Amino acid sequence: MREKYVLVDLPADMLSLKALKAKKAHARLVQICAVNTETGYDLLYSFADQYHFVNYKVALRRDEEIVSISDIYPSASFFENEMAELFGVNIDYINLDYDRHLYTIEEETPFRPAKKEEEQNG
Amino acid sequence: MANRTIVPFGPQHPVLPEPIHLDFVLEDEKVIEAVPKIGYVHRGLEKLVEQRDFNDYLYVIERTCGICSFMHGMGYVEAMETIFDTEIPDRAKYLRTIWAEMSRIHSHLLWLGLLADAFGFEALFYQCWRMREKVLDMFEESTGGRVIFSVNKVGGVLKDMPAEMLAKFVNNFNEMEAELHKMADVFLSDYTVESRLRGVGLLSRDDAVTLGAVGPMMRASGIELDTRKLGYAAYSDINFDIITSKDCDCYARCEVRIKELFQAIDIIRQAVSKIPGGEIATPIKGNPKGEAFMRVEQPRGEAVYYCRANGTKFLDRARVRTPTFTNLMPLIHILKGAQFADVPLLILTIDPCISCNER
Repeated sequence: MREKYVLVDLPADMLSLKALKAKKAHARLVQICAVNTETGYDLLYSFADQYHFVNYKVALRRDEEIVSISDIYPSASFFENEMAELFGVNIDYINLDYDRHLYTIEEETPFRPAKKEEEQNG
Repeated sequence: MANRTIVPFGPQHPVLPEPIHLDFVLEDEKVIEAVPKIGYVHRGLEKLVEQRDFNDYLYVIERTCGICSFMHGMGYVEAMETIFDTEIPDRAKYLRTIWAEMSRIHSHLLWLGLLADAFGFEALFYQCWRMREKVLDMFEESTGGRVIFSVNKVGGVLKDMPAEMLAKFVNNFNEMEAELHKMADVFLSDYTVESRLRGVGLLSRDDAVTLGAVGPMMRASGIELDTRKLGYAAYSDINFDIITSKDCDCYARCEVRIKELFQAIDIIRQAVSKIPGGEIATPIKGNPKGEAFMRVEQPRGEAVYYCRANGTKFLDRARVRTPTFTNLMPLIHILKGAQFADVPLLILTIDPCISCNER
């Protein structure tokens, strides 16, 4: 049996509202992750109310910023630190901010495509 | 006035099974603040998806963890099978269920041994790990490996277990069950053990939800949630109740894991009695295109897999959210206000897997 889940697109400015609504409904924050796209990132925010699994996809340009939801869900801090450090996502107001030093790695934003590739994609 | 000090703890420390660093702000012996630092074993496994095709990547993702390697492989291939929209043969689903529950047993026995070691009960530690060896022997017999098994593939499994082997395993687990009862009695009834675990590391139900606890950590706070109930592999055909506790402390987490040992044996018995014959894999053609989430219940809790494929043999993204990553915030919470002497127990109570955590 395969799990049925919801995956919907969400504008960045609606994210905090959705997170607040999820919190009010006693849903858990399951995960947050980033995926590179041609113009920037898709940020995937997953919440679960018991077995009901809802995912929001927020499209973000590389130069855009997004506000942290760690004030609403403290557990978002580690996910957001990871996205900031590995992908270079600009996230404002992370509660427990490691300032891109969560991991001990030499390379800056190793998951971000090389600059040349970014320029080619416009 | 209390004496305030800062104590660095780890990353190399006798009680830490894996490297994590914590800075503790203490007032006398009481922990006021705990700030974790991870990142000592970050290997960039998710990045490797750019250089390995989707079949080869299975061998990378299995190496996320030496304890849950089977579970990581299973979560990934089930996500890929969702993208391919492929139904695997029923026998393969049952075989996955049996190996998954064997993984749960050896993982919980490993954790119980480490817990016993942390509170100084060496004999109990040896008993737990002695029993765990028997499970690893069965893994070796059925898969050829003791740590990395590599029996999953997109579309099914690579190895079958003949009926005689399954009957032998059930027999082994029946014998082990009797020994486990004796061991469980020590963990749950011995007053020296109880005195270390009762009332320590309280995590309320609300905090467990808000802070993102998963697995036994969450169920020990009274939340009835087990991802196996989603019915992946053959779990939709298996009868089992979700084990919870309302005590919310270290003792409750130990109790939940011990009861899950017996439950895992029961699930293996059910799976062996119901396993159908037939093929163990379906051929997969072409390259994947699309995206999928998959959630599985690892011994340490819910793990989430996300894959995005672009129609070539290389994936755009393969993401693993491991249970330890989301259990870190509850750990910080329960450390605050704890006695410094209880810190090793509290770190162990989340069953931390730092290499899983950092990938």
